[in-house]
Amino acid sequence: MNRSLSIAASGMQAQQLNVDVISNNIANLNTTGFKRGRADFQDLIYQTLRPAGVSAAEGAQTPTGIQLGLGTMPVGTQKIFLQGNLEQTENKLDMAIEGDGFFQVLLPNGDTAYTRDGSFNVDKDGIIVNAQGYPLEPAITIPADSLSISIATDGTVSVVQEGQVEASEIGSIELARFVNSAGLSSRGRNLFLETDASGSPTIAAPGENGLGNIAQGYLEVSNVSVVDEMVKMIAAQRAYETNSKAVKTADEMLDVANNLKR
Amino acid sequence: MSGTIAGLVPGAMIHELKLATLANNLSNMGTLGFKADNVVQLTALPESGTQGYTDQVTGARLPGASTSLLPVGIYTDFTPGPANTTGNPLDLYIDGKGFFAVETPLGTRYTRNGSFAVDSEENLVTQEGYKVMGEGGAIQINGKQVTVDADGNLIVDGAQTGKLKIVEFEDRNALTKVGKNLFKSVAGAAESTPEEVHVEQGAVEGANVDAVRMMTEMIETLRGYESYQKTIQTLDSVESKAVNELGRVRS
Repeated sequence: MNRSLSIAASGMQAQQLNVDVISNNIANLNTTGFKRGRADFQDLIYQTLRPAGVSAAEGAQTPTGIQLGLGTMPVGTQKIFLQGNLEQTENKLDMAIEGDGFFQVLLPNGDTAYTRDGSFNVDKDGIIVNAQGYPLEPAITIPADSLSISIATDGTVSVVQEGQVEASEIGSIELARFVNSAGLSSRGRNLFLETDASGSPTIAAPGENGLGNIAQGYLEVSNVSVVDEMVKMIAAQRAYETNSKAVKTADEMLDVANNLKR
Repeated sequence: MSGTIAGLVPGAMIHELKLATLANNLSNMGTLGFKADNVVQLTALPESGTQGYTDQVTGARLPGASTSLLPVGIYTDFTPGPANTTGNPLDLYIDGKGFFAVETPLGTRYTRNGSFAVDSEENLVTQEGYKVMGEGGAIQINGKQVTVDADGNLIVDGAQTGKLKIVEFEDRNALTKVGKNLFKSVAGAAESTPEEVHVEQGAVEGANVDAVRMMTEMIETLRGYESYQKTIQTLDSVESKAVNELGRVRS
């Protein structure tokens, strides 16, 4: 009896996690470069009360055994790295990656973090930094007397300086690519960190080694679809409810058993 | 006398087993590729004696009923679950018959859950990290564009890198569940390649649990259990009368 209670409870916990993931997706609907998550579940081990194929009586074999499942558990919350839509902005330092790859930014502790959020700015020293102020890797400094900045699809950054007609190259952006980007760990603030599961990054110029190209003046919006998330939320809520009914039924059956002895 | 009450116990226990199975089906409503279990009550298995059962371990004839020998079978319902589109290129759905073969440390296991990923060594793996088997071993994926055609061929950046190994069993009862969305085949089960394979990319198979049916069965189970309670209580009161009232001498 207690089995049914804990089995149904595992279902409720699973749906709770599912709703948590969905809520986080919806909350990040307007987060640039956000990648939606999905909770994946698996069934728990089975308790074999009677193996299949044992002889039940002389000469007869039971066709199936009695295997009792013990509930469900989450196996992972995977990030779905599908391309988000590109939105045009007027900002010269807004960049979107069309295809695979991540921008690299240098964290204050010296580690490199990876992001799809290409809303960059210039700090007081002319260094290209992201919205949190972390410098882009490899660092690119925009001269103070620049009149215009252009970023080519292959990541080359060139500026036209005052008093000059021709643009001069000041650096190029490199992107990182992971074999298993779903294995990256989310650090929050649109940043991802490398893990053992993701493997080491391959760093190259945009457009090479399977990396995407850079689109200047565009931002990649979140890849969350409201309709999809809403439908998933309804399904999760109902599944939660059904599992709570199983808990209630188990409780009622325990009550029945307790009342056997009057 | 008390033998009559004891005879009702297995019936009540079957109902407990039924609820546990229903609860397991419901808790796995969100498990991809999950197949619901059904408790089927069989007519009592033929025993050569009139009463009792044979112990599976010692072979001795024992009186009464045993939990391990309740006249039930748990059958797995292999009806396909719904295809939920995700748009994720590494989500695969088998339309129709067949199972994906995956390599686990304990041997080959089978699954209908096609939510796959690529590990740091570029192998196609399950969410658990088990390698998904192709016809020629593990499948390597390293490229920008992964396409899986209906026959299960994997095409990475225009070049075919492998073909998914999809197997079917003549007798699906030969499959037992081992958890983690995986099935194990019993030794000697005939494995075959389904004649027509249809793999859909960008979709996963949801659980085939029918919530409405589970709810009605849950009500049925509860009420069935209750009726055993009532019968036991009735028998108890009959016995109580026999013990306490029959022999009473009225003064």
